[in-house]
Amino acid sequence: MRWVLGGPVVLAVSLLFTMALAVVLPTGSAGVDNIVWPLVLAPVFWALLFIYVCLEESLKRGVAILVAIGALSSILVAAGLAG
Amino acid sequence: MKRLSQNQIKRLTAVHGWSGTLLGTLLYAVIVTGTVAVFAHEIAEWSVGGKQAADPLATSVDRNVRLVVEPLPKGYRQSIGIWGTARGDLMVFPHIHARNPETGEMSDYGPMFRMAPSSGEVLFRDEGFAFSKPEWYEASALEDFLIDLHVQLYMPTPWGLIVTGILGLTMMAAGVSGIVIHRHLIRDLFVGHREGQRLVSARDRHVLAASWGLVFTFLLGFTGSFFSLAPTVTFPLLANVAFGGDQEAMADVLFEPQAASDPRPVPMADLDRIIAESGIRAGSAAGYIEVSNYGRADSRISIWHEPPPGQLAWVHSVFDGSTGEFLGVRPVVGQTPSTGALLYDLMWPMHTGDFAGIASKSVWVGLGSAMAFVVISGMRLWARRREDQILWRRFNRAVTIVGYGLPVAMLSSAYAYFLALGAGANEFWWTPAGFLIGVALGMLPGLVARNEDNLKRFYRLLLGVGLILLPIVRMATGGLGWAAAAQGQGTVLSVDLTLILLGAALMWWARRTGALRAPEPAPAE
Repeated sequence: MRWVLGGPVVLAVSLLFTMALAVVLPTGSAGVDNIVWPLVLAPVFWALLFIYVCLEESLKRGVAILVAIGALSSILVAAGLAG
Repeated sequence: MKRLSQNQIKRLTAVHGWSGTLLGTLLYAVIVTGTVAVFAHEIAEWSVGGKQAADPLATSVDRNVRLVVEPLPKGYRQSIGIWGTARGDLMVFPHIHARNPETGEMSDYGPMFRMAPSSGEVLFRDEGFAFSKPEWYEASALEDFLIDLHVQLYMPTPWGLIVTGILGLTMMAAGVSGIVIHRHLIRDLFVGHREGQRLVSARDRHVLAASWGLVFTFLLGFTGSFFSLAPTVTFPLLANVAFGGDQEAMADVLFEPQAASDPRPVPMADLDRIIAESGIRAGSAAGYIEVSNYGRADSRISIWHEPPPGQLAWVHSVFDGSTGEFLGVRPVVGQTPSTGALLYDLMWPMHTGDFAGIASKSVWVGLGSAMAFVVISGMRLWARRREDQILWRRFNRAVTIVGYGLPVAMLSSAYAYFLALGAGANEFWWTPAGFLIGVALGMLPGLVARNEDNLKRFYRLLLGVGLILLPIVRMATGGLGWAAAAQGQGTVLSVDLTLILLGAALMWWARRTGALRAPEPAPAE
């Protein structure tokens, strides 16, 4: 179960989180920060979530946190796509 | 800092070991080719026999560009790329963005001119989706192959990039898990060699090299996965959210200088004067020029300069194409400076070490070599702890074959390149073919040898002799001789000398008695 969480689930959640940042981050003075920061830092988001899943003692808590991040990111992405 | 539980350490050790074991050979290939590719420009210049002319962007660019661009249909004036090759030819590429029916992707289409910068003679003219055909725009098939091998393991796009992106993530995971499970990081930076205890000593060497390279491992994994995954995965996803899926529009906002549309025909300003002014302002030579809307009132000229002394990032100057007025220095991303642009600018120098000339590149090569050793020694440790099983003994042999076979194959590709040049054959076909021949030849000794130590000696000797003979083959196949190279072609001499020294070191290593002394039995930790 932990391998599923650390593999496809972490990959999907980190990509959703990356996309959601494009919606919520300020664009900055040059109007590009909301794109460039997630574009560059996407691998770091994956690494942080992956290591978290490895270190988390309670698998249930790990699932809950990843589902929460994924769900919140999905809502933001959907709002970005709609608007 | 809170101590990790046994379960946490166990999980991270499993991640560290299995990720390295399952993907280690591919990771090793990416690291070794990347280490060599740090000196890609120098290898290119060496392999084509040095620069035949002075900097092709320094003089007569204006005349040469006018010669080939002005007779063309106006559609091709949308965008013109201008750069110099390692051989010193001037490349001029007027193009449009069009969908390539073969790939379904938007690509640059147009006539590509290879010119003699001094005379303005067109040496070659090819037309089509240029960047799928390296023989049109590259001077050295060897440089092109080595970079392609590093960037996408010679697999088709985008799959190769996705694979190397995953390998970059693996490298980060191995690096981070290594840091977290490391209990004595500072002490391990100075760990000594313990004679006689085979596993402990092997682990010490692995830990020593890994400790010094921990930050570097993370840095390379991070920047490498960015360069592989940004164009294939992240960029399209972000374009979907922020630009309704229009990747062209997003690329324009990020990378193109903005100008209000004004299609009035106007004469272009003098490119040579602009390049000279830009060089003085930036403090370094121009590396790449792009002219948009050539001959229109809204024309913009972007000039990218290599990092000047004291700076990490390339300098991007923008001029008005019709008046020649300097419009300012723009970040590589966006129109005005921003934290995002600063972050983006740092990715290239952090990945390649290309910011302080040979010195920074040499550090990157040294740490890259250490990383390659860490991957190989890590796989060996993993296998040795399980060597009572035949599968893992075979895996250990496979590590030897890959560890030495890959450099043999790379060397073989260099031989194929020079022999093809000498024979007048297509070097862009023969260089990868030579690599594949080298893979087969490199594997053969590993498949037939009985004694592991003799096999390693043989590989070292083979590589040593191969490296020493390469400059001779280069010269025998029409390459620049040392007397001629001494007249201002320092790169050619330097690379030849480096190859000979490396070859001699490998031969000395192969012959050194006691270097591969049989291990004494010792229990695993």
